[in-house]
Amino acid sequence: MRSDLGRTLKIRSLVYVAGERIPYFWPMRAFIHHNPLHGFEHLDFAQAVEEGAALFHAKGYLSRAQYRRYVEEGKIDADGLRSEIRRAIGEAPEILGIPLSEWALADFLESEAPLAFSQVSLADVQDVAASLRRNPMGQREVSRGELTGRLRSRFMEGQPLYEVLDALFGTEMATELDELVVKSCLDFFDEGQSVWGMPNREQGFFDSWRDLSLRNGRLFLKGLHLAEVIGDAKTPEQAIVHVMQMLGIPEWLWQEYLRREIARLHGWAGFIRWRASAEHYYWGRRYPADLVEYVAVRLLFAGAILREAGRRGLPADYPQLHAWMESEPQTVYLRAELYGGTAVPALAYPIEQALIGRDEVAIERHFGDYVERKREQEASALAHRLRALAGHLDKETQLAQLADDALGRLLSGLEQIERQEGMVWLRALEGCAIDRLAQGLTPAVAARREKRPFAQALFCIDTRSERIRRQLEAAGDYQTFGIAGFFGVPLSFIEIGKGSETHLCPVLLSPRNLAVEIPGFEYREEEAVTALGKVLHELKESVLTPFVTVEAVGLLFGFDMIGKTLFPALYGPWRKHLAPKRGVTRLLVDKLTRERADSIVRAVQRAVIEKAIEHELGLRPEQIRDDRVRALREVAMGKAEPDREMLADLGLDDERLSALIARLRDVYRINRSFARMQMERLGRIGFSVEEQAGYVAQALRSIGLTGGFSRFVLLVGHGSTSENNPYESALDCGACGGNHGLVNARVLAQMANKPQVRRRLRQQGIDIPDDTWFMPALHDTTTDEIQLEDVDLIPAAHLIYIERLRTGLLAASRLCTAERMPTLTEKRGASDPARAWRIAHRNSLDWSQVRPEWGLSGNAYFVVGRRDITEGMKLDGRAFLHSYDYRLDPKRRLLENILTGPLVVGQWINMEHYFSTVDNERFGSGSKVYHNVAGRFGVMTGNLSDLRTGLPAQTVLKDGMPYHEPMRLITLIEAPVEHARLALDEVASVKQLVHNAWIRFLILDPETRKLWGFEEGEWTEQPWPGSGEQLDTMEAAQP
Amino acid sequence: MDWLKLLPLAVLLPLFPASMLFNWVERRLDAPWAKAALMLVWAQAGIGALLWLAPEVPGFVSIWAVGTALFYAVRALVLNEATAWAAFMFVSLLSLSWLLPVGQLGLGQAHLYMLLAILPLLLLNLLSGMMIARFGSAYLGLVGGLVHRYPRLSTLIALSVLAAMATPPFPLFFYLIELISVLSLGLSIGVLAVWYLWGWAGVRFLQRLVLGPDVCRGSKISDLSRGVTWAMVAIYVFLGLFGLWEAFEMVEVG
Repeated sequence: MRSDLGRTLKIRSLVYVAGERIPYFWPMRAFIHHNPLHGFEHLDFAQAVEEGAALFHAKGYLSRAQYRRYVEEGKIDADGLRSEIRRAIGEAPEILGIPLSEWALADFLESEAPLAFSQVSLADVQDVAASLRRNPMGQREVSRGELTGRLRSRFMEGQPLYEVLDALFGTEMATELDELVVKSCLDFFDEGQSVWGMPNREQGFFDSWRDLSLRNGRLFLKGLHLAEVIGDAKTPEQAIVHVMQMLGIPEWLWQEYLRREIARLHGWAGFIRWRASAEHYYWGRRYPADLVEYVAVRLLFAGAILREAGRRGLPADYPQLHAWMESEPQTVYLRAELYGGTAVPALAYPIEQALIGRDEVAIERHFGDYVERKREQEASALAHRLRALAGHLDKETQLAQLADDALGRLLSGLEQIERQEGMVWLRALEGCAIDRLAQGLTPAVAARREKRPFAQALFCIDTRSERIRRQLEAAGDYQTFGIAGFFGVPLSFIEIGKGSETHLCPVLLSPRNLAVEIPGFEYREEEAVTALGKVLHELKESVLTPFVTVEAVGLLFGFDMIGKTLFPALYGPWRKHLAPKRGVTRLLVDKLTRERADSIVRAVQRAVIEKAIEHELGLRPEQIRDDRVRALREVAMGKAEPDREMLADLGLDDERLSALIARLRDVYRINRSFARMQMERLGRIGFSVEEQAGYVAQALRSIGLTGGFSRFVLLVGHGSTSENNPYESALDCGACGGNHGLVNARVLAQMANKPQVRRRLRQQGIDIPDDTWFMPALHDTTTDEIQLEDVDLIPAAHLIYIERLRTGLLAASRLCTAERMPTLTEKRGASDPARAWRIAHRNSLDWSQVRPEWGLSGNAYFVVGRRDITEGMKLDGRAFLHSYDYRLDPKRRLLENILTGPLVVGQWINMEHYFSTVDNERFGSGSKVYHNVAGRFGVMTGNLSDLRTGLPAQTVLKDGMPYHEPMRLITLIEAPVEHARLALDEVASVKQLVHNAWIRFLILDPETRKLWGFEEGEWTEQPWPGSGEQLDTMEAAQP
Repeated sequence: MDWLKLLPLAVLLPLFPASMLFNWVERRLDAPWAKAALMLVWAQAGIGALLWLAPEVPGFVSIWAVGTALFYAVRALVLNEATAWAAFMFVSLLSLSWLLPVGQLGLGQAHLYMLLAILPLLLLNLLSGMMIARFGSAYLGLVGGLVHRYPRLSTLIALSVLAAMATPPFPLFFYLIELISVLSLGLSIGVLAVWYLWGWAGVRFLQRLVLGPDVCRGSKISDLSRGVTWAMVAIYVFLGLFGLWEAFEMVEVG
């Protein structure tokens, strides 16, 4: 078997294109909300949902019963639903004097279940008419050709062969295959969770797997002769070609076949796709793997399973299957009915017996009988539902007398509308939500303030900030703004004590600058108690622990378990004392000068050389002189030659000295190229003064804060606190790459407080008073606590106001918690601030708590504009609020930035919640109760499953019903309509989202007092109570 | 060897291929209650005939009986229809009657033990009838994941199957323990193998019918009534208590 370069490239491109529809899956350590149908965004939303649902075997909308609950709750009104139905149907004739739209409305609102046309495969209009009239059905035969055609379209259009055999023989090959693939993936992609790792992973996924598989006795005993299937295939491309040819799949079907193969375990496939594209990912560089290798492994397993099935007499390749369908279509049809779960119940067992016995005469007899009974059953069921529907319209009697052609029109009309039912309900739900938003918007702009506010606070646009902002504004003279959680400063961060970088910015961005955390004055080293904690943690991971240490340390763990299970609120804070309190730290945010960087590199090299001398030559510290170290450094760096004095000094001969120098260069990396790399890395640290001024100016302009600064400007990042929660990162800030936003807040505050920066800002027209102090803070969204940071840096003159600030923040926090707690718990008194506060804190400490907070569940709106338009509204934590003043953005650059970054992140969050709600088992990750961490980067359900993408049931459902209302993101821009439209046109990705209806886009024009919406390619004026009112203070409010 | 006694017993306490007669009759009956009645009559007739005729059972017949039990237990593993499953488990159970120490059993006692042993299968047939009335069939694959929507029906099916699998505290568990204790090593191993297959078949049955994906999704069909549920639960409680009493007796005697 040969595979030349052309073939290799063709296979690689086939796999690449086949995998395009699979969304990336990021490691859960930094959870990224994403749209599971991101690969379909080039399509219109409705079409994308249909195709995505088919590919992933999922649902794209809620059930009718769930939407009807919304009608009962007033979240959908009948008039809105009626107009959406009319819009979907268009012009349609009346049936029995009633418009088709009213038939559809009655169907949606009165019938418990849809008419379910998709379940009707044999019955036609005449059959239904006969059933309605309670007449016997006419005879009708299903021709062989028709039957074969149906079977071919159902089973021979790219469906994986093992899926077809499972559907026709009731086998479980697909499950078996998935388990084998998952096990192989767990072994290879493990990131330190397993004590014993798969050998030779450095060779790559395919090669290391191939090595093991050729010697896997257990698989051989199961009848899977992998060695035979692998054959001569040395590369994954060769393996793919070999298996596809072995199975006889026609080449024109390969694309579709591979797409369905990849979609079966879309979690793993999405992770591998992401991993292959993440150039700087440590594990990806160490153990490389890509989607082609994954597909090759999967196909080889599939080939072995199918071969084994073939030995058992099943038609295990495409030509055999095709021939069997052509020669025995009745048998195939009956099998499909039986094992597909759609058989006529009374005939299921006799058919099974006939099929097992391979009695052709009995099968033919059963087939004829079966088709008749099936037609009768389908017609009768449909007639029954139609009769019930007509009953709601008082037309039951007339229905039976309806002529066949009219009945046909009715059925096809209802079929058409039921195909669009999900979309109709969705639009009706969104319509009501838009109305609610529009009614609450405040058109008037507040008059210019006479006095600056006591404090201003910049919160993340996260929906959870809406509540706390409202409470803070009500608590006192506070002014709040919304800004992306990374405060517009994309940075890479090295935390104190860690050696790796974390990107604190949206995943769409790649940060150029690095910030480093360094110890402050009183930073303490690790104490003995943490050493004990570390030892205990390592013991838990050892495979020998159960045999040796249970008696010794079991009691300790038992004590811990009882404490954190029964008394989390008391035990948690005490347990935290095991870890030392972090001392004061500082962030290195300023650029290092070249001299400074060079000095740091030299200092590091000297320290390394000292250790090297001690280790290699056994010299004691007092024998290692500074000049010796310096001389060795110069030699290792190639700047000097060793001399006799050095040899004598170190007591070495030529050979040993050369060996030492070589080790310094190779092992200890005291060499020019490494030094150059270190200099480059150090060069990334910090921001120049110009950069700092640029970031501060952009951040302030983007939210419209360019004057009237108060004494305190709080930069409030957010994070969450929970125990035993693999989804912890999902509750943190998405704009900070799934981390908390405190670091970005500290960085921007440090920049904004710098006099040099403020001088540059003044030149740009942003005059920050000398007594304005930018202070970072962290909003814990689980407890609503707002913790001020870097308090020791506050100027002395501000200290007298700190208490008032703290009191205001505490009041806002407690009121916010009181508002939020009743949605989380039915405990009595949950709306009392003190009790709510206690419950919230307990939630954050309780390791059994599967729902420490609702997170972003409930998100519905994205509002870009001045705070004034939403200030009077209670949005219940459902809106992303981004401050923006169009008057400060004549060239629309700031608006374009908001659309490009925060809006896209908001849309991902919205779509993640949408699909996790409508089908939590396929798009979400099911119940947390059954989750197990896999490889330290994801979770599975049970011990073996696909990687669970999406959100768990506890995040979006409550008591089995949706808590999150699945709607597309309703985006409102407050700006003149042309201004907003032109900005939208400049951002191609968002324009596509709007034009393809992934986002419901509205523009509130404050100058013409009109509300515009984008519908089906056009901008149309929307009804708005505020239009036409005089804007009394607009002129006064001009900046 | 008394063939005149053995042959009718081979039909009533089914030995393959005579067991096919029972299955043929059972398949001819449509109503599950009729199938249950057939089982009741057949089993009581069988045990009655065994005690009345009291033949000397040759060794090969005992092996044949265990072989029949194994055969039907293996068949039960792959059956997908609830009444058929009950019928095959019935044949498997009944054929083990050949191994009973006939001389040590009183007539009334034997009839009672037989009734208690097959009662779960009779009840399973009645429950199958309730499933057919609701869903049109009791075929696994068309009906499944009952626990999601029909907790009462699921509970009773689970109890029936667990009792039919001879799990404690139901009487069949203790009867098998006692039986094994009086058999030779070879026959004991055979009976244990049968027991193992019952367990496997039962778990598979429960997994597909009670657990698993909700195949009945969308059906607006009601669960069993409280009255029926409590009545059947009472029967199982009685069975359980009887089983415990048997255990107590065994310990005392032991």
